[in-house]
Amino acid sequence: MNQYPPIKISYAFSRRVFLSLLLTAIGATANAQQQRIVSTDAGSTEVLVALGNGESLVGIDVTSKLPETLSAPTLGYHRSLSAEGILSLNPDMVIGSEHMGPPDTVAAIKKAQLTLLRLPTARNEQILKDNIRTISTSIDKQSQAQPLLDHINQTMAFINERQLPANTSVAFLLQMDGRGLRLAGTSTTGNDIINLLGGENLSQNNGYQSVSSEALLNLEPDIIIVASRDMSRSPTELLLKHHPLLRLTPAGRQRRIIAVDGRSLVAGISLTAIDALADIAKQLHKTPAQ
Amino acid sequence: MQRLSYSIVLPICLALTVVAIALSLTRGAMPLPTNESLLTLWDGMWGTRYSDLAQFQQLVVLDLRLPRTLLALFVGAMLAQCGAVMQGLFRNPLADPGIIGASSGAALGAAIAIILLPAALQGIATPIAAFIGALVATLLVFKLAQGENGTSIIMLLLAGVAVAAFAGAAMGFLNVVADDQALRDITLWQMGSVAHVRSYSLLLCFIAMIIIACYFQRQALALNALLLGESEARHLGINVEWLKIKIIIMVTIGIGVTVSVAGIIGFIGLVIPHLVRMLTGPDHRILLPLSAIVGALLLLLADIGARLLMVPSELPVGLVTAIIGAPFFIILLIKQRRNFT
Repeated sequence: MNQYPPIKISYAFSRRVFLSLLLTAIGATANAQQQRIVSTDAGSTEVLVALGNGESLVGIDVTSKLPETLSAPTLGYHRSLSAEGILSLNPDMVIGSEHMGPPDTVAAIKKAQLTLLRLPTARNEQILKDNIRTISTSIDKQSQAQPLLDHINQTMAFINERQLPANTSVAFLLQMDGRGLRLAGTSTTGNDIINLLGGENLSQNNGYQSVSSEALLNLEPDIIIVASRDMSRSPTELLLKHHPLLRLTPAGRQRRIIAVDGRSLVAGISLTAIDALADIAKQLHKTPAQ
Repeated sequence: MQRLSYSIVLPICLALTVVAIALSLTRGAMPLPTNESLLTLWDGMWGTRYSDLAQFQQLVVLDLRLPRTLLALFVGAMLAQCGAVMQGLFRNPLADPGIIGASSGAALGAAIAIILLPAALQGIATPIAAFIGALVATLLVFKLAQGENGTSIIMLLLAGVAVAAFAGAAMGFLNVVADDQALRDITLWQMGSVAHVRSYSLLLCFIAMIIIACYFQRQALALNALLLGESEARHLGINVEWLKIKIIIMVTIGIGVTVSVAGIIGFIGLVIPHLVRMLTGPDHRILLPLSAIVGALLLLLADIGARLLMVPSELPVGLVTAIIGAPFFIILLIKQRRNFT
């Protein structure tokens, strides 16, 4: 049982699918009447770009990331949006999460009779797929949605084949350069990732909490996932350099400390997050618990 | 510096305020023709239909720009008046509403509401908690300062520092346990904004502004007497102790209302009274109304800046007042250096 099937979906491959989709979609929409869309949520921005509608984005929030070929003015933080700022972009449609606010801005958007789409934050692949369906229907791009949904299904099947054994305790850490570690508790994307991998989050606190290596040692994580925004240096090496005690945790002894690019998790369980998740599942599968 | 006559300064300030109101109604993230925007206001007031703006453009003028303009005027006027009265009462040029703990108490109240209460309640709970926080902190400071011989101004200032430090520590604790979203909300709230207006908050602000302005104006002569010193004022027949209590209560109400509707907006309360004193002198009968007008004018200008500097995003107005206010205050200090040494 040491031989695993070859990985069907690699990160690079999904990038290629993504880019080719993008290019065909841009070609297709070039002639059509261009919609003007404001997206105030990183997740919906990513879906719109993946559906090939990146060109129609006329405004985004600070967390949204656009590919280099696209640009749109930034509207600030998605919970303190300026109503006039949004209206000044003359959009046909505003897409955001349930956290979009403040309430008077949302009320003004409704009063100005713009199409307003508020989607739940994706906490698992099911919500993500629902969101993709909702967005693609509203911009009449159902056909472009199907490859994305297929991709999610394949990736999730890949991840589900590699579920962690029951009662595997996982610590999801955010690495803050030189400013210690933050442990992901409930209602965080880290928690969602642990759930999708089939592990148990060893933190039951709400949100991200500062944590010392002593406390981590005491919690005995079987697996440590460390998210960092700076992937130029290996986050795992950096973690063990600053917190050498972590070598003594079960995860450290079995070399089951895995890095993930924090930037891929900004939008919750998104298309990039699912790819990152597949990558984690693959790595964990290579180094099974002893 | 040459002092100017009230009869010159007042009309100039009023005219500038009218210009600023017109600017505020016609400038924003969405470029709209100036005369059409003003016609929209006329239409909105008298139910006529002169303006050619589309419906959503009229919405921008009447529903977005007009309320924030009014709120900036009311909040600016209240902050400047409370600052002027505090400086008069404490006979201390550094006094501003923050010094008796009102701002830090309000910040703590708001942080508690943002972090501990469910999101659905926050729209109403945050302003109420901020108001209660301001009230509790001020009363605590005031209680600490009361001794056998009446209220000690030095004790009041020191107790204010102590209560602010405690509130800061409690805020720090809340920040540690808060999740990232609540943290961001608190930070934004602390920088203040007049952009998000609810109709009841406008009404509340207007009533509070009228009440405290009328009350302070009636106390103007007593405040003038107090400038001579506490015992001198007492000999002039003023019940100094009672005056302190009443003024502190009114200031707390004023600050509580502004903080609860607009968050913490710094420097208006500190800088405006100094500016007005430099222009027309320390007579409270003139200082108080003029401070209100100049405070309203400056906060409105700061808000116009806040919405235009980062279009289509917005800056918190408290950030703009601090960026303008701090260097401005330094210039004032340099000009007044002789008086303080």
